[in-house]
Amino acid sequence: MKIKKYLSYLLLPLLLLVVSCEQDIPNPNAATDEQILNSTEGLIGMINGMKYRYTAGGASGLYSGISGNGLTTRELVVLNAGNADLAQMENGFDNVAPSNSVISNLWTNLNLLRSDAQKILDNAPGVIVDAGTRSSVLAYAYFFNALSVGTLAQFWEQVPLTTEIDAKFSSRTAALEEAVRLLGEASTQLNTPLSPAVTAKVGTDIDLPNAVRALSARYNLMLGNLDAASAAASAVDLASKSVFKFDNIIPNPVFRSSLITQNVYDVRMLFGLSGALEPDPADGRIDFYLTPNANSGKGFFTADDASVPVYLPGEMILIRAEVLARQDKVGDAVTELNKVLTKTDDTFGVNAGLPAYSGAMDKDAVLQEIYKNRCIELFMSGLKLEDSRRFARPGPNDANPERTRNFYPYPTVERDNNPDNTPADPPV
Amino acid sequence: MIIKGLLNRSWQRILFFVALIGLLPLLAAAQTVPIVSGTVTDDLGDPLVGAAVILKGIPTGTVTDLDGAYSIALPSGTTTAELIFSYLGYSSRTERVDLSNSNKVQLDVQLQSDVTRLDEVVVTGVSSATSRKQLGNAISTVDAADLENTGTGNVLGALSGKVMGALITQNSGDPGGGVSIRLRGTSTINGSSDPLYIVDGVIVDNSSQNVINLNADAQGTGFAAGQNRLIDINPHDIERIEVINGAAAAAIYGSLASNGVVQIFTKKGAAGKPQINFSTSISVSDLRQRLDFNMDPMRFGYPGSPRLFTAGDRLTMIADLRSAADKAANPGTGVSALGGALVENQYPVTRYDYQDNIFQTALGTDNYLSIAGGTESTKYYGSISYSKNEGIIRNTDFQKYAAKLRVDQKLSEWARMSIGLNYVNSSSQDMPNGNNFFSPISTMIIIDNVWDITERDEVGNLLHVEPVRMNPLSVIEGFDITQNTNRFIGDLQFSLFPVKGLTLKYILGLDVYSLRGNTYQPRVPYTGVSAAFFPDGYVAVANSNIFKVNNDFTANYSWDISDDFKSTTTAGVSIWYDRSDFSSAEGRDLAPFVTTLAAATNLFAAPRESISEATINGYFLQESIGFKDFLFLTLAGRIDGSSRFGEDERNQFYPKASASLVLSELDFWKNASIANNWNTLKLRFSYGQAGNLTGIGAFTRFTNYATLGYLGRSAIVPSSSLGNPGIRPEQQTEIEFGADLSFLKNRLGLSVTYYTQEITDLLLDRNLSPSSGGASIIENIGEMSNKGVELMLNINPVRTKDFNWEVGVAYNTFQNEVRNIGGGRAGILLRGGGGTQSAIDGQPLGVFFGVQYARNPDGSLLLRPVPTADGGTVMLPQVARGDDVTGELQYDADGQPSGTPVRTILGDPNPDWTGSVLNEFRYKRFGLRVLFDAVWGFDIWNWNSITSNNVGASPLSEQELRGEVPRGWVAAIGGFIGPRIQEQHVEDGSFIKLREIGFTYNAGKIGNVFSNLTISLMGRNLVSFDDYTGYDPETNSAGQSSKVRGDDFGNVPIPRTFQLGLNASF
Repeated sequence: MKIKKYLSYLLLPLLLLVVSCEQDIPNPNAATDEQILNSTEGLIGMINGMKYRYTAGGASGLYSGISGNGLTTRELVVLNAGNADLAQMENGFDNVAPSNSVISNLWTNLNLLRSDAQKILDNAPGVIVDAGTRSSVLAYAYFFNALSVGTLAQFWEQVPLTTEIDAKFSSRTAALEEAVRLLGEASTQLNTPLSPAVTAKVGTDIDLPNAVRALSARYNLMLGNLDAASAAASAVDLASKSVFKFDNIIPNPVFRSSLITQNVYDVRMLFGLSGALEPDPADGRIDFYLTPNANSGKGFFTADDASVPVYLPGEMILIRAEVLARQDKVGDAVTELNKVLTKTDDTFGVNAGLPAYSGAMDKDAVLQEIYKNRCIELFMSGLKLEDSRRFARPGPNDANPERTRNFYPYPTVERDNNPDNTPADPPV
Repeated sequence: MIIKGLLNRSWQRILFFVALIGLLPLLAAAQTVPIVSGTVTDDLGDPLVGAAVILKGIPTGTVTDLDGAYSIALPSGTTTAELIFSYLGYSSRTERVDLSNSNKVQLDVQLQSDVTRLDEVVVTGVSSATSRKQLGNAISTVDAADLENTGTGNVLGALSGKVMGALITQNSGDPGGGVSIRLRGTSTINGSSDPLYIVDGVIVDNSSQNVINLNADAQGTGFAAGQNRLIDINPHDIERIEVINGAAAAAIYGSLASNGVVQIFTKKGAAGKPQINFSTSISVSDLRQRLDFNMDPMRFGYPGSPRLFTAGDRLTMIADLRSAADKAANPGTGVSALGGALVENQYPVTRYDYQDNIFQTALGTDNYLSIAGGTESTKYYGSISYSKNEGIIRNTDFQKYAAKLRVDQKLSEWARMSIGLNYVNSSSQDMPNGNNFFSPISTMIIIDNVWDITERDEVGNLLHVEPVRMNPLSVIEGFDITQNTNRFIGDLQFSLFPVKGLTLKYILGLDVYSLRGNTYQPRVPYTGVSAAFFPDGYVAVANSNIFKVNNDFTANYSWDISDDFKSTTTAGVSIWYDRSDFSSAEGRDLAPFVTTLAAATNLFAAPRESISEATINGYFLQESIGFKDFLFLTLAGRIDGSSRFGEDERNQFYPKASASLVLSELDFWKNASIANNWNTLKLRFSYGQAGNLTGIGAFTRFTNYATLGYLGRSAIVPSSSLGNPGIRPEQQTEIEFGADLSFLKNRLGLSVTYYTQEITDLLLDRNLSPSSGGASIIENIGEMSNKGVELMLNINPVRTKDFNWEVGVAYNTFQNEVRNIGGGRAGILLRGGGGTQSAIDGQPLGVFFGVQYARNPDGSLLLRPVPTADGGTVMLPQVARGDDVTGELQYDADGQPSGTPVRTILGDPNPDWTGSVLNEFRYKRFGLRVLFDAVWGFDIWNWNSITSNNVGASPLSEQELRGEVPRGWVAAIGGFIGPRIQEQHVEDGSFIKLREIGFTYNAGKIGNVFSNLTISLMGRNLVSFDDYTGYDPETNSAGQSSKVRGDDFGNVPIPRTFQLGLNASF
């Protein structure tokens, strides 16, 4: 019968299509967590992923840390108040709303960085077979985990130390101690030299052993572990360079998102320092940090592909100076301080080129000079808020404040979704 | 891949089948058959052209010719038959003919006009042809006549004011500008709110693909700006459009249907000699309303350089950015940077109105040629068209070539097939969209109007304007941005009638297109332009390829249970597949002369490729029972599964139930005296569920780890947006009930509908606590509801042979509410970039949530003293303050606001109601058509006023220069002395527009050349009655976005258009 014939022709393609309608279509654009976390290659790739997370784009931890810190401590000035969240940061005090995108971005990306590191730490031991590869991957993960927790502790009074739903918060002291512990773990892993199999894929832009020591010095100083800080700082090879690299595709975020636009923020004249802290006009660092190049870039933010140091040699010297000064070894402290003041051979070109310190040889005066030099030497490194507190500079509740916040409020995204554990916001 | 392989194989099957059909000898055996012929006229005795004559029970039919004559051949041996005569806008009639005595019978029929159109046959939402009378839901139909001479080539724009319950917004005045349709309001936040579009059975794509604004943040803030692809459909080809508004009617379309369904039917051929139709028109468009600019010949500050090119020459209205040297020369006039006391000094300047440099009078043309004809067994309709419209922004246009062919072939008495082929090439010359500062309108509004933008240097290069910004003419003259779409829409349909009452139907629909966008921005010849605007030049190419295929098989069986009970059972299977891929490459820092990627020396963005692939399988069953002509009940259900859903969520069930009760068909009504004046009363009720999956990406169910090139190495970055393995579509449950009434011999018809929609499982991109290891996840949380009334009144007050007057009035109310999405008082912010559109529990979607003026109890502004440069104070406005968590306003001991700025709901972009009044007059050969369209009770966020105030180009700035408001007023509002007062920029957008006005003259038959000739002159959007200070409140710089509405940021206003047209039939 013709009917049957027509029907069969009609139904045949249909049946084929019924069979063909696959509903488990894999994603060709991205890998899944299962794939990545169960492969050595994936875990090594995540090391670069952590660098990307921390440094790439105008929402990154690096950009938000430098911007937030710079606006709060008057290093930077907003050029167009149309950038409302940056303007809030500049105005400081209670203008800094918990919903402010600068602090939300800082919080979010540092927490995600810790989460990334945590994933590697959880999976690498069971997945990576080669011992050398495993220890190298773990060392990087510990390092970034420490960087995340340590940086969070510079801006918030309390910090979650582990990644989990309804995460509990710990004091910033506990966070800095955790950062120091993680760096110790990294150091242990580094007893086995970095595997070429890993460095071939992640590069040697970060000299990991020295970077681990440098961060250890930084966080120990913040904790007041003066001897440990000094020891770690002394162990850093000052000729070594550790940097976050950039290129045209992943550009230096401070340069690309801010300085080159001439419409977001810019540096303040004389580092925003005045009075006793005002820099010597002959200070070579004025030219290094404050004089724009043809593209309005400055300091470590002169071009899309300008690298940003993980730490500066000057920081290590100034840590030693500060430790000595706090230990009342004023003369030795001045000796270290002079290394910075008279420096002309800095690996990164941060050279004050000034005469040696000639001020009062009392502890307070030397500490103030150390603080001033930290403000200049470590300009736009994101450390000034912590320094300003540690050196007890005039805060938001004092006359002529040098910083407009002590700590940041906890971002709305955290409080809304982790209401039971998020601590009360600091008043300023 | 498996799918592809199998698809290919099934393709081969289909092609094979098609080839086979072609070889089959077509039925042609001539024999003596009974023939019924006659004419069909209307109640005034005029012939009805194109009235349908159908033989009941058997799929045989014809249409009347230009004289209203028809002739229908019946199967041989027929002795009695029932013929159904129908024509749109008329009550249909069924006539019994007796052929026992003669093989040739003459039957003339007169049809009665009926404004209620209850006999109109519709298919949308019911899958088989059903008269409107039987429907439990409201349905709108729009005929070809309503789509002609509308002054727009965009079919969706042409629907404005013609569809019940629809809010139709032309989001941009570009010639290819996007149009969005919201049926009964918005029903999603994350997905698309546009209805499902079906053209001749093909599910067509209506997305807005961004291929030309990769370097702007135009799409990065919840936007869907630019063209939407229904622009490719040619209004001339359309025969009829059916619109159903929500889940109650659309349940059988499952997971695609909660926004309603718009089904478009294109023209088909009819048996008879070839009919050739040619239409052509020319149009002129221009800017309907100009903005006012500051024309005071003074400016605050001290000129820093002769052509005002120092940093201190910027933003002098709101800031004092002068150099130290300048200040040394003019001491005591304020501090540097923002927030300090402002300079009071003024200096003379020349002010310009840049609108003359930006806008043009735009010409357009639209040409269409069709040929249709055929025999009883083979019918064809072919058309070809060309249109080109310039935009009112200089150097923009949109042009379209289209060709269409439809062939209907009768294979036997019980088998028919139809093939439709459509090809469209759309291309446009564009400018950057709004929402960035280098679109033509933004460049004009973001600079003070004191630079002569036409001035050139000795070699002809344009000169700088305000430092940081672009000269608007650099954009207009330099940018070369184009889009080009090649699109094929095709369908293959088989209808089989193997036994009486059984219809089997198979539709294969294909929608395939590729869209390419090219962007070239030359190097800017002057310095000082922000790097964000690419002064070193920019070039990009992007390609978007869409492939959609739908297979729909339905079996429909109708039988008479008894004389009184009739049953129709429909079962269907749908298999839909879509794939899209997008790729792009960008570069900057251009070499000279070359305008493609080859010019780029800095490939600053990695090339991108993204593939999306998804399937939907659906099965549905529907049972309709009719009792006499009086009660109709329908029950239906659909089960849907899509690859987008979580693995355990692939059995979504969507039920439907509806009833129609035609009281006027009851004998007591027919016999009552009331029946003379009250002809019809139909009550209807409908309940249904449908879904929306557009908020779910093809791979939302996975936690994705991105791999990306990182400094020559590979980086793997876990997505901060976590996967949701349990994701499922949004569910809409809709109940509607209503009544259709007609009076005075069907000369007055009234249709009323009340609906309520509850949307559950709303898809939201919810924030996570970052400490949990993710930043966001798309989840099914929250609810939304829509409620409203739809009212349509059709009157035919005068109906004579010479003069006919018809009135159509539509009125629709909308009430939207979002619930249980969390986020506290502030809810969830929907628009990035400093916008305030928010989703807040208990409020309509997208309300503006921002800071307000501090006010005294009497409503006047509560001003505060602000120090001036000379040591005095000035009283300026300020924001209300208090506790932003609770919303409580607080004041200090002096009565001044204290605390943090308190946000409040400043406005709502959703209208309270829309309405339209259409008057159509015909006097002999003259016709006049006037359509007024109103959208009422909604607000607009006027970004343009924010920017033009702050740069000093606005009327408010002029007032400040003239001392009519104190110095610093603009800065205080703009956020440069205290936080920005956002309330200032929310304006009432309510408008009534003269949407269409048209005169036609129908010359009728002219000699032997023209069988009909019509000349028309029409105007579109000629007048708008509104209080909006911007260009046009009908706008949205977020384009077709569901969640960001009422946004006016550098967007092109809708022009007014005059069109002169000629339509000739041969």
